[in-house]
Amino acid sequence: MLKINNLHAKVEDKDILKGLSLEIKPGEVHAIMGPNGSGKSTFGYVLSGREGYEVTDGEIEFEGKNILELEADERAKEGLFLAFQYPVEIPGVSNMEFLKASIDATREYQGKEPLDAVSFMKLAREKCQQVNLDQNFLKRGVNEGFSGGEKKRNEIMQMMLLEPKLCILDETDSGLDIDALQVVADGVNACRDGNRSFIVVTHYQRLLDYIVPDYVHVLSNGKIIKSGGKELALELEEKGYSWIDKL
Amino acid sequence: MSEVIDQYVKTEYEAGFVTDIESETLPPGLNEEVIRFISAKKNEPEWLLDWRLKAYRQFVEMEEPEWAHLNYPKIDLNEVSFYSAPKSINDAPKSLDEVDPELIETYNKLGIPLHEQEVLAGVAVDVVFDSVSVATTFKEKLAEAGVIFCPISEAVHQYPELIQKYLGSVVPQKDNYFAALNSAVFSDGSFVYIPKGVRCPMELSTYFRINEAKTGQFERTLIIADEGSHVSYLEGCTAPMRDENQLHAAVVELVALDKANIKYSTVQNWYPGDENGKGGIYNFVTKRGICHDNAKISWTQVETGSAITWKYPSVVLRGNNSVGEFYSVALTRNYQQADTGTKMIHLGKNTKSTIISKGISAGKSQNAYRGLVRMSPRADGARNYTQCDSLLIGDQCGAHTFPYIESKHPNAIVEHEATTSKVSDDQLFLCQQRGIDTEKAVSMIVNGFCKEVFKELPMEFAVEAGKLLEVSLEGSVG
Amino acid sequence: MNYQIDLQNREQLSLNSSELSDIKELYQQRNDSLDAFKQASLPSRKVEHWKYNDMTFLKEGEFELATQTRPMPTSYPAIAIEDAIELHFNNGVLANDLAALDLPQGLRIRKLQECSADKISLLAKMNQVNEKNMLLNLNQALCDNIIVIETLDNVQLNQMIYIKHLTSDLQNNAIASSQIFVMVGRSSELSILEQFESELTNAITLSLQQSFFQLSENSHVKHYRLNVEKDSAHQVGQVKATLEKDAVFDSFYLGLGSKLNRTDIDILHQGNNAHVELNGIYLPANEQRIDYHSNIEHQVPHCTSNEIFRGIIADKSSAVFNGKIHIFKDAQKSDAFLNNKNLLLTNQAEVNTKPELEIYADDVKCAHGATVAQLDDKSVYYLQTRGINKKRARKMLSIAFIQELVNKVKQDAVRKHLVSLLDDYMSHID
Ligand SMILES: Nc1ncnc2c1ncn2[C@@H]1O[C@H](COP(=O)(O)OP(=O)(O)O)[C@@H](O)[C@H]1O
Ligand SMILES: [Mg+2]
Repeated sequence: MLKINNLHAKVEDKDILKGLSLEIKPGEVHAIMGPNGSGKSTFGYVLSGREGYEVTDGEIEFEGKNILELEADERAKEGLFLAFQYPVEIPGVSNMEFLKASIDATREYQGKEPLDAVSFMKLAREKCQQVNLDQNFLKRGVNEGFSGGEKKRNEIMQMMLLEPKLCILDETDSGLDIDALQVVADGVNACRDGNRSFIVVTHYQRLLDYIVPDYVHVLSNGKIIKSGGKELALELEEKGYSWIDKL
Repeated sequence: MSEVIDQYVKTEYEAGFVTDIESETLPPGLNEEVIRFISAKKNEPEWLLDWRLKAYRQFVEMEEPEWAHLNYPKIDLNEVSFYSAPKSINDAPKSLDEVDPELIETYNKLGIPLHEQEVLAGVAVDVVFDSVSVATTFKEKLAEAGVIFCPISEAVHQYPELIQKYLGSVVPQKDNYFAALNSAVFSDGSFVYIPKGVRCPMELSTYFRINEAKTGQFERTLIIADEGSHVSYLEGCTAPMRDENQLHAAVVELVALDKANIKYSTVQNWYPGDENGKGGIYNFVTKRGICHDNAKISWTQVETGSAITWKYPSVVLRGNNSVGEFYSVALTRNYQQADTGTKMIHLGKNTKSTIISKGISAGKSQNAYRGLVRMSPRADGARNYTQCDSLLIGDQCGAHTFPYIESKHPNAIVEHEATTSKVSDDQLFLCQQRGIDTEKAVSMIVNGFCKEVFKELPMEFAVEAGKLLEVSLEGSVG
Repeated sequence: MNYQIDLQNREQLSLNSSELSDIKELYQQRNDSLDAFKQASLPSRKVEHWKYNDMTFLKEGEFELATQTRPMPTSYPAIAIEDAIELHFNNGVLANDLAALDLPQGLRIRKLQECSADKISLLAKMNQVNEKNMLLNLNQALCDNIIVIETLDNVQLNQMIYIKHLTSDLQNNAIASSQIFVMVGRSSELSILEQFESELTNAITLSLQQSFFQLSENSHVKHYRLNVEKDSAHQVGQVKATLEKDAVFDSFYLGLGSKLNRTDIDILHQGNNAHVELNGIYLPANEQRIDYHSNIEHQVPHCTSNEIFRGIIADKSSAVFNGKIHIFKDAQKSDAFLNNKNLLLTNQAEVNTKPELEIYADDVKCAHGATVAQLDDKSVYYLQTRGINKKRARKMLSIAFIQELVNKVKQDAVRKHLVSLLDDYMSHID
């Protein structure tokens, strides 16, 4: 599904990713762990095509296609979804309008009929319920005045609506209490259908009790320096990030 | 509260003594002869006389500007004397010991010590008394670092290439009415040159004082910071109490070459006139700096004096990534009028400017902020932030804000905010209830209001500024 | 008839010999306005009040005062307001037969010449010489088309008054001139919508239009002024309102189209506890110039004002916003807020904004803010990661930028009309 080879990227003349390689097959869940500032969020931005994040070397192949030349929205329509660590607030654009535009664009790209307003509303309400968001959220501005937890749940709701092929969750667990974490994890697990793949970026092992990964990678200084099974997360938790410096 | 306000406007002007020295003063009036006289007096080269005469000819074509929020009778230039020098200066003092003891005494009264103990304070001082520069301390120490700090009249002779290259390069002769006047008749002022890569080893400082009656003061300051250099410059001003209005029309030009950094601080305490609005200095000043690539110019001013203040220290952000700052406290009371602010002209890419202006109006005064932020079509990624606050003390005064924002670049970001507040009875009562008397309370509130600006002042100035505000406010509130 | 105005030779102008000039209550004021017009410099970049506007078209010399009305062409853009009382001005001249209007109880609409002397005096007062805008003085000197709309006390008018202004069918350079004078009785309520339209012409047309509002105690006026002229039209207009005690004036502006639209808004708080709400959206595109100058005078204590203007400046267009809050001495406990935000969409667009405060009383709460910026990159990116393309994302964010103001329009029919105008606008810009 996703093949990344020797990826180098920089932001504002600062090299951040320095030779990252990773392969993900359909249905797999990969966890990426690493200390603050190791480049986890940058990785998500580069994958999703954020402007200003310049790939200086390496390849990214998604579903057999080189996506480096694609705009962020085209990558999204190809089925790549990024749940943000810090979702931006957009006052004035209602969630409803936003979701409708998003779904319409995605369906059009896939050659599907647009959803009529009634089915859309039905679907949106349903997804809201699944992540425990009050329906009033649909009327409010995108993330406007949402609490940290609400923003994260909103991200998961969008993921469920858009049904992407690959989901990148950037520290979706941070700032959540146990109940909210459960809701988010349930949402993610409900999306696991054997084909959909996940990259779960997290700082703590805790989330991985809920979303069990097939592989765990440790990112440090822009590179994956160690990979293993889910037990690697436990080991990391136990020994702390200073342990990896010695690797 | 208002009764107390009334009885409070009684503070004496502390710097208002007259120095009794003989001086040589030109009879009032302005014509080409006066300019030739000034130029001859200073033994100036031909080109400078021509430069002055050109300015004069442009000046006579110009009209006094009327757009400011100021109300004063037209200045009659036939009443102003354009040159006054302490006589004893003619014998050109070589060191402090030779300076007229009366003068030294004057500065001591003003609290400007010129003695060697100054070394400890690390401040080099140039003093401009009426129109002539009388003493520059610590020349030698500065010379070691390659820094030039001397009267501009001296620089004309010693560094003619620098003067010819930069004089009028930031504020052209015909820039405005008062700048043209200054260009024609400027008498003296300070010249500073900091060589490449040099961090000036001490704060440089100039004190200006108008002493003679019916004289105008027209000093001209030029500071050139060569590539990668740093300098901090302080300017202080006082004048004696006189019934007539005295004219002060200065020009300050700053040139910050690539990566240079100039910090220019002013504490302006010209005589503001008495509580009936009689007398006081008319202060019409043009201050401007040019920033080349990655350079920074920062203006900080504390304006408490003058009957009329007309002053807009500006920065032309010509170079990419250059930075301009303006921090201002302007306090007016009695019948003082101030129209002051800044211009930030963003020409280069990624240029940044910050404007923090604090206006305090008391008594029957009028206090206006006037600013311009301009983003040129080339100012990609430029940014400005402006915060403009007014504090009113009493219901007889005025506080005004006139910010002009002009943008021609979609990537430039300008943010402007302004607020108005007053020293409320509630605040004062709370303080009183906690045992703080009203005067102290007002001064605390005002000081808090000005904190953001004071923190930009060099240490010794910050203390002075705080004290100055306290003194100026005495009697403004109850 | 065929009164000629030569702007280059103003000293030769004399008052139009018309019915209105003959009314003695009006004569003095018209004469004063004419004198002021002759003495002032023509608008140019050298005149502070016109600093940012290119007014060279005024140098074109002779303009004729438009007089003839033609049958009204169908309205663009159509506006569907049920039950509205419609008035049509064509080239400044009223096209309706007022006698044929079916008016509700308590409302009267007349030509000025049919009003009593005291009403005429009140209007003369509204027409005081304007110190800043000399073109308004011209209008005050020569306007023959003055309609007075008047309610009695305690009238709650449910029907909207819809006034359509159209300039069309002009072959020669011409000035259209008109005024309306709205007098609202005590504790009465009124809503009024003014829409300005034009047809494309080769001739230079200048429409001078002033709307005066006099709000009596506790009256409440909802007002909308929509400028949707074609790219050849010039308009210099004014809204001037005096507010008595407890009056509320809620006034909304849309500037969309026209070659030049200059609107002066003057609000005079004259009775305690009056409130004004000014909201506006300006959307210049192509090479249009839109200029709003507002001036709110708190002349007495305890009044409030709230003003929000937002602009999106596209293509090679430019916008000017000048918002002044003036608190008079003794106008204690005034509360005034002003905010202006601008989005520049291109390198050739330009905005000049100047929020001003002039304050002569200490116990007041005044704040203003202004920003100029572009669309937020992070938001564009966020929308893109959800499959929305950049162009669409930018449009959504542009609409969002003015949404808050659209939401302030509470009258459904007007809001719908507004939304359709905005949709149409958005489909034309990149
Ligand atoms: N816009 C930027 N400009 C410069 N440096 C950046 C920028 N964004 C991120 N960085 C730097 O890149 C590194 C990686 O950041 P990030 O990807 O956010 O790390 P993580 O998500 O692992 O905490 C950090 O050192 C951060 O300071
Ligand atoms: Mg991160």
